[in-house]
Formats: sequence, C-alpha cells, structure tokens
Amino acid sequence: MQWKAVYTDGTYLDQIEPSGNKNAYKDIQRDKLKYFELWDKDKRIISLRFFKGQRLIWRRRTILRTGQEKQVIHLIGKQETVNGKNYQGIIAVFEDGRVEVTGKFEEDHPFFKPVVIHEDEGEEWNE
Amino acid sequence: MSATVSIRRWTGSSGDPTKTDITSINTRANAEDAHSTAGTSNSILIPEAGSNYSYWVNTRLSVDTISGGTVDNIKWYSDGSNGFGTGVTCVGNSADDYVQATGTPGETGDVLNETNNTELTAAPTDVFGFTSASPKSITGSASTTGDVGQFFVYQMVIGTTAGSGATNQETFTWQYDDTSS
Repeated sequence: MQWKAVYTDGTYLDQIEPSGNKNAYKDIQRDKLKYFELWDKDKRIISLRFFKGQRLIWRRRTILRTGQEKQVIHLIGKQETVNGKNYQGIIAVFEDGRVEVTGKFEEDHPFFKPVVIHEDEGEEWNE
Repeated sequence: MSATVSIRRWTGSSGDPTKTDITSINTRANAEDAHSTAGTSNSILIPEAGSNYSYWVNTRLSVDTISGGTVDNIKWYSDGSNGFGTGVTCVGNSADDYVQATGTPGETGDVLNETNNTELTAAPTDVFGFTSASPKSITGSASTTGDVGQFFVYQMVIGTTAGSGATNQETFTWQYDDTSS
C-alpha cells in the first residue's frame, strides 16, 4: 500500500509517482492537507479528511517473527487541540484490508501503541 | 516502498562479528558461539544439579534498504507463554553493545548477567514477561542502512528436569515503525 496526500488546491503528492520517483513522508505539506489516502495499486483503501488545525500521523508498523511472513499495519491518525483539549483518532489498516479504529494510542495495546513523534509532525500527541 | 529490515544474530569476536540473517529461519541456542538451524554437536548438557546455560544469543535489527524515512519505535516481545518444555526457561534483556558469548562448548555457556555481559541495560529477566502488551522497548532509530538499535540478548536456562533432545521451538518478535518511501 502507498499513501497519497491530496491538497486543498487540488494538487497532490504520491508516495511513489507513476515515473517511479519517490516522495518522503516528511515532504507532505501539512498546512494544506485535505485528504490522506492509502492505495493498494489502483484501489483506494481509505481516505481521511483533514481540516485546518488537524495534524497527520502515518506509520508502517511492521512485525517481524523469525521464520514467519512479516505483518504490516498502516497506522493513520489525526489529532487536534480545541479549547485546550486534545482529540485523537487512529485507524489501523491491515494488509488484508481489515480496518480497526480507536480514539487514542494505547500503551498496552498490541498494535495501537504510541508512535515516536517526528519533528515535521508538529507538537506532541499528548492526552 | 517499505524499508527492508532483517533480524541478525551476531556471533564471533567483537572486532569482526558474523551477523547472520535469521529473519526467515530459526536459530539454535546451543553451548557454542555459533548460529545453526539444527546443530547438535555442541548441545547443552543437562545438569545433575543447578542449571546449565546456552551461550547467550545476541540479536539486533539491521536496516538493509531505506528511502527517505526513518525506522524507530523498536520493540521486542514473546508470546508470553513458555513453550520450551519442562525444565527449560529463557532469560534476556536489551544491551547497548555487542559482547561475544562465552562458556564451555558442548557443556554450558557462562551465565548471562551484568558481570559477564557489561553491555546489558538491566539484569536478565524471564523473556516471557515481555509480551505484545508489555514489550521491551529497544532504544535506537535509523534513516540510513546499517545496524539499528540496541541488542536483545537472551539465554536458555536448563534445569535438571529437562528432557534430552531439542526443545520445542518458540518464536520471538521484533516490531518497528517505518516511514520509508
């Protein structure tokens, strides 16, 4: 699966362009992000709408077990702060197409564990 | 594309260690500082009293390909249930650097503790206490190829009640986040 960032001005950024050119996750222009999408070849798996002030997070969470096929879970999240209160939503997209949703990262959850925030992702995802 | 990350078992001298890719295979913890999938020449002697040990097993992730992203948030865990069999336990913990395993080949490894392995971040504990809900966090991240993060080092502990022959097999898990293009 690959991501696609669709902007408010109608332009977009593909993770991998048809030419094969690759774009980095950190290069997404978050200030004009309208949709963040996951695509499996030519099929759109999920599209997440963003509004001003909402912050994106995406990770490819990989589980490696010796002698077994690796498992990949795409975590897509957004958060915003409204009147000092933090709101989060996290979606897990599995390679078989299964989707699970939670309201926040959870330390003791098998796959909704918190991520390490990157510099380009803005402020910390605090409670 | 996702980063290509492999699980490596390190053996040999610290100056020139062998880093065997064990991602798609099993590895045996025997009484020798070597990787094998089915080796029996240096098995661990069942003790008449107390415990004998495997040589400790040094494992670490390696980023083999990556493009414009980061590998981080590394975790290590077990399935939470010791399935090795009667008289067999396994202890381990993270380590900041590589220390070659030592012991008496074909008999026992030296016990894994913070004296014999000074790179351990804490005393070894039952690895089955590290689960998906409560994993061991492995410090480290990488945006380029090469070894990444701390080691996870573990050791089999063989008691007098252990049976002869190979133990049942267990599967340990590495988990990481990746933003590679």
